[in-house]
Amino acid sequence: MSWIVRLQKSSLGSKYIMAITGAGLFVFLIGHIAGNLLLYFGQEAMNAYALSLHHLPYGLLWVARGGLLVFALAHVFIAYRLSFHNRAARPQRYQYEATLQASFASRTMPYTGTLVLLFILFHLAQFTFHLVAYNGPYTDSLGRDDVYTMVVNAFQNPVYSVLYIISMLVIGFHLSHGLSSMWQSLGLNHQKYNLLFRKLSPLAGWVLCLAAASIPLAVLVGVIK
Amino acid sequence: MELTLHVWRQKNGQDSGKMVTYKARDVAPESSFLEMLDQVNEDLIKQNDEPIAFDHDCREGICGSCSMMINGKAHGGRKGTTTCQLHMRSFKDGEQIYIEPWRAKAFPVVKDLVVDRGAFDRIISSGGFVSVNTGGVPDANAILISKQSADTAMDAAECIGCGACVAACKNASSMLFVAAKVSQFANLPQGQPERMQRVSNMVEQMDKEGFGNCTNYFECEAACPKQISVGFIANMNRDYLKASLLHQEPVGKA
Ligand code: HEM
Ligand code: FES
Repeated sequence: MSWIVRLQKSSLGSKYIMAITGAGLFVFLIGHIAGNLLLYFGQEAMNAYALSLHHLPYGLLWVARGGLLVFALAHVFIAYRLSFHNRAARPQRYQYEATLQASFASRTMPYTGTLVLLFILFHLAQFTFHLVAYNGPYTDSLGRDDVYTMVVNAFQNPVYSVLYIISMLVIGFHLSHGLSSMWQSLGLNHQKYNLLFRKLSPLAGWVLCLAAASIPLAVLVGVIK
Repeated sequence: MELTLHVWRQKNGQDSGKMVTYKARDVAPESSFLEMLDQVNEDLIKQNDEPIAFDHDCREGICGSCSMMINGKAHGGRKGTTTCQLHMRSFKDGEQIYIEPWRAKAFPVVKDLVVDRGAFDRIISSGGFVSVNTGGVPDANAILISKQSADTAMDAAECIGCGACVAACKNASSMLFVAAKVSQFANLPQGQPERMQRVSNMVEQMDKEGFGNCTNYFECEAACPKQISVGFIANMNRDYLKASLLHQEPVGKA
């Protein structure tokens, strides 16, 4: 086992974990956002979907939640450990700072990551733990979790919808570097596939995040009510 | 040309150091950056001042010693150019130029613009040996190698170990250097016997030296005077992953 401890501590091992957990979180995000796009199909579709998730066989919901938690904790823990090391590696900064080609998104990963973390905590507090003030019903006429009304009600408040739209843009920005960087971290850099690695992957991230941002926007302008 | 230089002056490793401003007068546009500094130093010596210490040796872009940050860019930021090959015609008359040493915990300042890049030497020696046959002279073409592999190995071997990648990286990471040194052997048949052990040892030594990690900014690639590709970093990442997961010690006795 000692080799695993050594691997996760090493610079490259840390990056493998960042890439794998980042990719895993992205795959979750695809499912999560695709599911929530059902809001466009009305209360029945959304609530039935939410109920079916809660009735997944073999406790799969808890397996998924557990896996997600482990991935998220590993991603965040290693992100801060890397950022701390990186700062320590240059104790004295340059008086004259210049950048040749490092993108703004790549240089701000720890900051966008922190914003994403804050958003996730708020998002869980609001829609999972019901800790944010809300005076509507949490169940519908069939006794199911009324996810539809809870979300639509929240997004009718511009404070929440704007917060969510901005957060989706921040995630898109984090992913615009992350989704191309993860391939390189795992050693995948190839003339024939660099279009996928460097252009199409970040594009997929943007499409997903803009689709997610469209939900609060649709509620705000009254397309979903 | 007349230029205003802001140069980092630091007596030794213990001194805290500071930027000092100098005028460089009558600079010929065709002189190199180092010749311009030589000229400033001659003036300083005439005034009984301490000349600016900087590293240099070949002055033809092959030794990698002329390391300095010029206006925040390693070797001045001109594509594929070392400081010694940078000409003053790439600056404007009257320009302000900031000159600083490489900044990295693993590269302590020795004096002024001179840093100790011993960390690179220790990484190289941690890579160990390459197996070669003793005995009679082997036939020149006994080991077949594709042109593509030979060229790739040579592209990696172009690295002159100047440290610009570390200096330019926002994390002071030395991945491009180590990747080049790993890949020059990994792409040759002669490098295969020790391939897994070599990458493990070199990455381990790199981590020990206190360099930062790679965030894939690719700033190193743009700063490298030999235009080493970040493709080699992917090469190293692949090899280290394979070595970490699969390489084992000799099986030994039951
Ligand atoms: C929706 C959730 C998230 C996804 C899908 C995601 C995805 C990714 C991906 C794919 C990478 C690239 C990994 C690599 O370079 O190999 C990455 C890097 C990074 N992530 Fe995240 N991330 C998420 C949340 C977070 C959070 C909450 C933080 C909190 C601190 C964070 C901090 C970072 C940092 C600092 C890096 C760069 C690490 C480095 O290369 O130095 N991320 N992320
Ligand atoms: S002095 Fe040798 S590379 Fe510049």
